[in-house]
Amino acid sequence: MAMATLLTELVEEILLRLPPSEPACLFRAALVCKRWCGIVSAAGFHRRYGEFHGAPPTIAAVYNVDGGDAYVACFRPCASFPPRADRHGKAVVDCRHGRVLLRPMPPIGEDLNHLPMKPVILDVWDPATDEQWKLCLPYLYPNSFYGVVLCAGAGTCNHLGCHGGPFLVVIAGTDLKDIFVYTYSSEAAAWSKPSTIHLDTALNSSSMFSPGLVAGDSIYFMLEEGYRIVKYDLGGCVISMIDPPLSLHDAKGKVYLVETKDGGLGIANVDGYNLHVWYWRLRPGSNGMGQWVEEQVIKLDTVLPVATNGPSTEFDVVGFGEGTDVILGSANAGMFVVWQSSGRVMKADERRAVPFPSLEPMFCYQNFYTPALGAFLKGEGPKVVSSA
Amino acid sequence: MASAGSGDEKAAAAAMITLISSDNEKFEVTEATATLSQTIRHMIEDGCTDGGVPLPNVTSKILARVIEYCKKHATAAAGEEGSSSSFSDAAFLEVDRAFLEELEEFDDAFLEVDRATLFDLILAANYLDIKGLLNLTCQKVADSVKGKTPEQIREMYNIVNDLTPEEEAEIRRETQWAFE
Repeated sequence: MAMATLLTELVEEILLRLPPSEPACLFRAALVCKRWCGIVSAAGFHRRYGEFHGAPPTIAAVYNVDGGDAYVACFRPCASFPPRADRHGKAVVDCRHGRVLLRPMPPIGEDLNHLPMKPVILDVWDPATDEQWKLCLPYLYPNSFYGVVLCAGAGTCNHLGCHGGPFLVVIAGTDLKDIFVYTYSSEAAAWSKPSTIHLDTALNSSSMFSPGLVAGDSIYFMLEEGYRIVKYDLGGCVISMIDPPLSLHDAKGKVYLVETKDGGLGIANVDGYNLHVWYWRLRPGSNGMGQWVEEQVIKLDTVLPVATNGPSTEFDVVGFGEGTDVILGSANAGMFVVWQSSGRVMKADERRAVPFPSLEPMFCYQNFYTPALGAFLKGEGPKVVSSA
Repeated sequence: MASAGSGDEKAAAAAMITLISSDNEKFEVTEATATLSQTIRHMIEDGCTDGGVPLPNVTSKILARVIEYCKKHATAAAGEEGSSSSFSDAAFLEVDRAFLEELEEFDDAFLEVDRATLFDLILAANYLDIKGLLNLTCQKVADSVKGKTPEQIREMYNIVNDLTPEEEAEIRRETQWAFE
């Protein structure tokens, strides 16, 4: 009676308001009738759903574990989501814009700092569709690179739940004396020519870089040794170097690149139960020169003891959900996802994070997961809506 | 200049508009209340509200509820403007918070209606283009659907399942995880 009297656009108004943190709601709604299935599966629905809700929720934690004989990349949903198989012999390098970047791993026990010089095949994985693409690293320094995967729709995509479409993979590598950056475009199915910068002082070690950060039009990588930050300007393909805050040079705790509220570069250092956050601010009238400003200290002692069964347990922060209040941590009791604002805590795994700098980070898979079931609708019935 | 301007505003706020329901009942409301509806706001801007605004799609029963909502929220909007421009200290923020809480309570109570009324309110909010009311009512329906199975949703809202058994079986197979 009543629902039937509503125009399709009003039924869509209702279905747009189903919670993105529980994707199952939309999939169950698709089974109500042809009209509902058509509405939630329509091409424009995914985009409008993203625009309506703003920031995509954290749907899963993505991380690496020591699986006994092999390293394993794991995808653990923290919302209703179809199960996705572990990736054995792979490690997560990055997760962003609805995609996961994986690298192959040697069997456990091999020295990760002295891997043989042979071609490395990376995988870009879309957990929403479970599709995977392969790309070969364009050079032979398998133990000295870090990379990010991002949506290629800069300017046309607002990244509110990127969905299919072309992607970029940006890889930063080093031979100790130089930094070089390559960009892979899925549209061109090819790597760019490298951009390079010669370092004033050579690196001490070619060990891998900490997780990268995409903020604004720039991509940042942090060199694990010596705490130097590489900035890569995606538009201009220019590499520059930024020194981290002086007070961090002796910092023993974990240091992470984070995005500031206005889309700039920030750096976070976990010192005990305090999270110190610095923002990189341009000096007025300095022609692009910046300086570090300590922006805030976040006290973690209110949320972390819950996760770790008491304040005495050691808790390592091993990641942040970019643009969210999510902190990812590893403790004796396992790996955790902590939502700071609500205090919600989810245990992702019984195991600890792999204690190796390039494998330890955890990532948030953030997306809007909406049905694409229109192909199953056959025969007569209400037309699938596809309003722009 | 400034005082003349605020005088005009007062005059505008006090201006009354007559809304006429489909069953010909007349409702006198202030312009501030009426202009929560974008539809009516445009009619006022175009100067076509003399002699009342006929609303042939809205019954007197529903229009009375809509006006109740608009009155409350028009007061809220006026209160917000006042506080943001003149006050900033904690005491006033406290007042603001209390007011927002009161507004939330009002909205909750306002939504305590049967399903037929709820759908009539959605139709009216859409026709009159009242964003807040449309959001409130659509969210109420969405919340009621949230934890339900397709069967429960169909029963709740009298929706006929027109999926063929084959379609249903295929979609169910694809969405099995959503039922676990």
